[in-house]
Amino acid sequence: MADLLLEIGTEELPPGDVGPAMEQLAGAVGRTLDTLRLLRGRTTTYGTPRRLAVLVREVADRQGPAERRVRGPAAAAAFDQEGRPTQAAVGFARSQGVRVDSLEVIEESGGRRYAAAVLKDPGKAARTVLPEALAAVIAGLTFAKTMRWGGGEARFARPIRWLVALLGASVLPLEAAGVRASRITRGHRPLAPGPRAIARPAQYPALLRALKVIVDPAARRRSIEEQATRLAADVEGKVVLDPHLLEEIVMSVEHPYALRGSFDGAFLLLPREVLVTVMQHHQKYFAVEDARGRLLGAFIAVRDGGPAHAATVRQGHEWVLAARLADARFFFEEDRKHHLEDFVPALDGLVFQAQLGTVGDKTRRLAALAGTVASMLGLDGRTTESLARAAALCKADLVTRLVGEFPELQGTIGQIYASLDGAGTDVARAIGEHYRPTGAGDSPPRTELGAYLGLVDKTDTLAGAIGAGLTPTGSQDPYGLRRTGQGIIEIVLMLRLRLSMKTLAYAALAQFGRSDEQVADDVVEFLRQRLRGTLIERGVRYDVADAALAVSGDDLLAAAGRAEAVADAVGRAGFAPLYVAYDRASRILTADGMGSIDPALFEAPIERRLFEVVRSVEHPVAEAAGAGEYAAAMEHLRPLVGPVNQIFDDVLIMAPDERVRANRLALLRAVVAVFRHVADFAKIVMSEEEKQVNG
Amino acid sequence: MTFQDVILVLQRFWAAQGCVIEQPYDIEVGAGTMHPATFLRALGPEPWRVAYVQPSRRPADGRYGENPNRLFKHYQFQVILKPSPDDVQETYLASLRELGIDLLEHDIRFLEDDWEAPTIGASGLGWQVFLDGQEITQFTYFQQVAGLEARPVSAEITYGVERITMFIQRKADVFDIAWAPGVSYGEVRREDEAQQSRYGFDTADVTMLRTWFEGAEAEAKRLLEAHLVLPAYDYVLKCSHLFNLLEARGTVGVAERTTLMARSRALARRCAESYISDREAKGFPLRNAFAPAAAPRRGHRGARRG
Repeated sequence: MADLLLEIGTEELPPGDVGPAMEQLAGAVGRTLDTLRLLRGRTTTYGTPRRLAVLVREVADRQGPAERRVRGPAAAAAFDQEGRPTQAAVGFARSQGVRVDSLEVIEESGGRRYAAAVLKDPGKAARTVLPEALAAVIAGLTFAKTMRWGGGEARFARPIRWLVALLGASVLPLEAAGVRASRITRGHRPLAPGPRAIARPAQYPALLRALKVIVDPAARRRSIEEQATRLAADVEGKVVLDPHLLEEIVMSVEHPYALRGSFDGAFLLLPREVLVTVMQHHQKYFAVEDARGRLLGAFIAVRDGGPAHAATVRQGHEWVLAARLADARFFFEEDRKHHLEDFVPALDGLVFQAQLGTVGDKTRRLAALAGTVASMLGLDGRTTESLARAAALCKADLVTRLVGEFPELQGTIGQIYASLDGAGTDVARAIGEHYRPTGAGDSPPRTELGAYLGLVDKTDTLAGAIGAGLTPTGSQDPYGLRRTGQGIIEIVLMLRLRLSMKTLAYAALAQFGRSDEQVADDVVEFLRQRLRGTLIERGVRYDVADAALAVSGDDLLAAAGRAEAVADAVGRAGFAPLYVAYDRASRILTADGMGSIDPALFEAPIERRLFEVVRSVEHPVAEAAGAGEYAAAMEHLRPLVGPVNQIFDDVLIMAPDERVRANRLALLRAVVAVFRHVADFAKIVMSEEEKQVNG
Repeated sequence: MTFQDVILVLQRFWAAQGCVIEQPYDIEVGAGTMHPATFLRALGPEPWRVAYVQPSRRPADGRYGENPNRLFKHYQFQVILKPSPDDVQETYLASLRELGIDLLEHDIRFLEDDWEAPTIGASGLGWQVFLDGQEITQFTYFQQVAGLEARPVSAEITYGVERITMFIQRKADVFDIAWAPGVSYGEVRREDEAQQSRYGFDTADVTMLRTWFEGAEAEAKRLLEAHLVLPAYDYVLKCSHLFNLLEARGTVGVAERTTLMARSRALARRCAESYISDREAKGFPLRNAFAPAAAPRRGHRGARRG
C-alpha cells in the first residue's frame, strides 16, 4: 500500500472556484479509485488560490481481481445434445482466449441461455492504471468559467503551471493541459517560492506549511478569525466578520497575516453603509465596531504573507482607504447640497429599459399604481400617503453621485438621504427595501410599506416587460423577470395579500396606455407558473400544486393556502375517502352538463340525503375556504363521503329516464363544485393501492 | 522614482524580454487595447510581443482637473505577449521589482477579474493586480477579440502608470506626483484636463459630433470595401472616440447607446476578419518571429525544456 498525492498547481484561481473544485476532486478521485478496484484509506482535499490537492492514504498496490462474463453463441448452438462443445463453442473460446471446457452457460432475462466465457482479470499495478485515470480527473473538473492559455486548447479556471503526482515515493507519469507531473511543488510566492521536491505524499501538508502555504482552508479560516478578533480587541473593538468576505479572503490567500489599520475619525460621519461598502466590497477589509455596534476608525486587512514589513503594508492600505473615503465623502457632500426629491427630474434622462421608457416615466407610473394598489388593498389614508411619497422618491438615488460610484448601494442611499431630509421612517425604509429580494437567499422587504412599494415596482416592471414581448423563454431571462415574479410572490405570501392579480396587471398595463386582456392573462399565468415552481421548491408535490392552482384563478395567496392544506392532508389516512368520493362524482360528469337540481325528481332516499348534505356543507366549506382555512374546509367536506359512495351503490346514475338522469348528474355536479372550494382533486395522482388501503 | 522613470524602466524591462517597443497610437483611443498593435496583432496565429505607452482618453471620466483620482486622459503602459508564456506572472512580478517594489515588503494580490470591452467584442479572464490595496495593473488572457476566438491566447498586461507612480511616491493627488525632477504631473497636464473637460461636458457641438460619427462610419465601410483595413480601422477608432464624446455630453440614451455600440462592434469585427485574411494571404509573415531564443528562459517549465 502507498499513499497517493495529486497537486494541481495553478495561477490564482477565482476564490469562488476553490471550494467547489475541492469537492469535485474528492468525489472524482474516490469514484476513480472505486472504478479501478483500488482499495484505499482516508481521502483529504486541500485548496488555496494556487493549488488544488488531494491526498489518499493507503491506496492498494494492485487492482482487486475481477471476473467478467462475455456472452457467446446461444447455448443450443454451442453444445450438442450430450452437452459437448460444438465448433461454434470452440471458435468462441479461442476468440476470447479461454479453454473451451471453461465455458459456462448463462441465462438472461426471458430465459434465453447462452455460452459465456469467464474472463479473469488479475488486476494491474496501481501505478499502471492511475496516470491516465488521474489525467481524466483533472480534465473533468468543471468551473463557472474556464479559459485557454498560450497555444493550448486545454481549459481550466486559470492556467495550470505544475502538477505533482506521487504514488508512494514514485512519480506517476501523467500529463494534463500540456504539463507533465513531477514531484516538484512551489511554495508561497514570495515567502518561499521553491521549487521544492516532495519525497512522500504524507508529508504534503507539513512540507507546504514549511513553504509558508497553509493548504487547509479551514485552518486559514481559523487563523484569520483569531487574528482579526485579537487585533480588534486591542482597540476594544469587535471585528465585523462578514461571512462572504471571510470566505473570499480564505480562498484568496495561502498564508494569511492580518493587520489593523486606522482611518481618520472624521470619515465616520459618512453613512455606515458607505463606509462598510468601501471597506468590504472595494478594499476587502473587515470593519471594526465598538461594543454598541458603532463603527470605529479602524479596519483589518489580511495580507497574503508574513509579519515582515507589516508597517509598510499597513501604511499602504491606510493610504488607499483614505483616498477612497475622501472620494466617497466628496460625492456624499455634493449629493447633500440637494434634497432627494431634487434628483427626481434628472430621472427623465436615465433610460430604464429601451421599451419601457425612462426611470422618470417609471416613477410617474409607480406613483399612479401605488394609488390603485392602496385602494385595492383598502389601505388607510396615512399609509396611502406614505406609499405615494415613497413611490415618488424611490428611484431618485439612481442619479446621485454616490450611487454612481457605488451602484450596489441603490435604495440604501435613497433611504439615507430621505431620512436626512426628514422623511418618515416608514417612507425611508420602504425606499431602502423596495428592491428586495435582490436574489436567491435574500428575503422580501421587512416592513409593510416596503413590501407594498416592492409589489408596485415589480408589478410595473413585469407587466411592462410582458406587454413589450420580453417574456423569458427557456434559460434566457435577460431582464431578470423570473426574479421579479418571485419577488411578487414572496411579498404576496408574506403579507397574506388577497388580491386579484389580473386586476393589478390591468392597472399596471393602464400606466403603459394598454388594456389588452391577453397581456393581463399572460402576466397572471407567468405568476402562477412562478408560484407553482416556488411551491414545488418548498416540497409540495407538483400534482398537489396543480390541484390547488386549478381552482384558484388569479388569487396567488389562495393557491398557496390550498396547496399547503392539501399537501398536509394527502399523506394522511382519511384523505383517500375524500379523493375517492370526488373521483367517482367527477368522473361520470361530462364537460358540457348543465341544469339545476329538482328535488321532485328524486326517486331513491339516498338522492334526497345527498342533496341535504350538499346543502348543509356548502356554506361552511365556502366560508372556511373564503377565510383561507382550507384544512377546516376539507373537514367540512367529510359528511359527503358516505352519501356519495352510497348513491353509486343504490341507484343507476345514468338512469334510462332522461330527466332523472340529468337531475342526478346535476346533484353530482353540485358535489364536485363544493369540493372545488378546496382543490381540483382529480389532478392529484393516487395509486390504486393508496386508494384501496386508505379507502 | 518619477512618472517618466516608471515609463522608462518598464520600456527597458520589456525590451529586454524581447518586446517590440511601439509608440502611442496617434488617434484618440480609450485604452491601450485599441491600439492596432494590440487589437489587430492579437488576431490570428502569428506570435507577437510588444510594449508601449498609450495615452487613453475617456471623456466621461474628466473632472476639470479638480479631482485627485479622476482623469479625462490617463496613461497606460501596455504589454502584449502572444502566445502567453508559461512564466508570464513571474516576469510581470520581476518588472515590479525593477520599479523598486520588493514583493517581500508588500502585499501583492491577483484578484479575479473578468475583462470585457463590448465596443470591440473583446473579452478575457484574468485579474486586477493589487499592491497593498491599490489596483495597479489589469492582467488578462484574451479569449475573444472582435468576437473571434483568440488562438493562440495573448496575455495583456496593462499598468496604470499614474496609479503606480502615486503608490511609489505616496501621493494622494495625481496632480502632485513628480512627472520629471522638479515638474509635477499637474504642471504638465492640469490645463489639458480642465480644457478637455470643458469641451467634453459643456462645449462639444453635438450635431457636429453626430455628423462626424456618421461620416467616420461611412468612411470605415468604404475603406473596408476598398480592402484598406488599416485606414478603415483608424476610422473605427474615430467612431469610438466620437461616441465617447457624445456620451460624455449626456446625449446618448440607453437604447441609442446599444445601437451605436453594436455598429462599432460590427465594424471592428469586419476589420478583424479583413486583417486576418490579409495576413493569411501574405502567409502570416511573422509566424516564425519572436522565436523562443529571443525570450529569456525563466521558470520551471522553460528551464526544464531548455
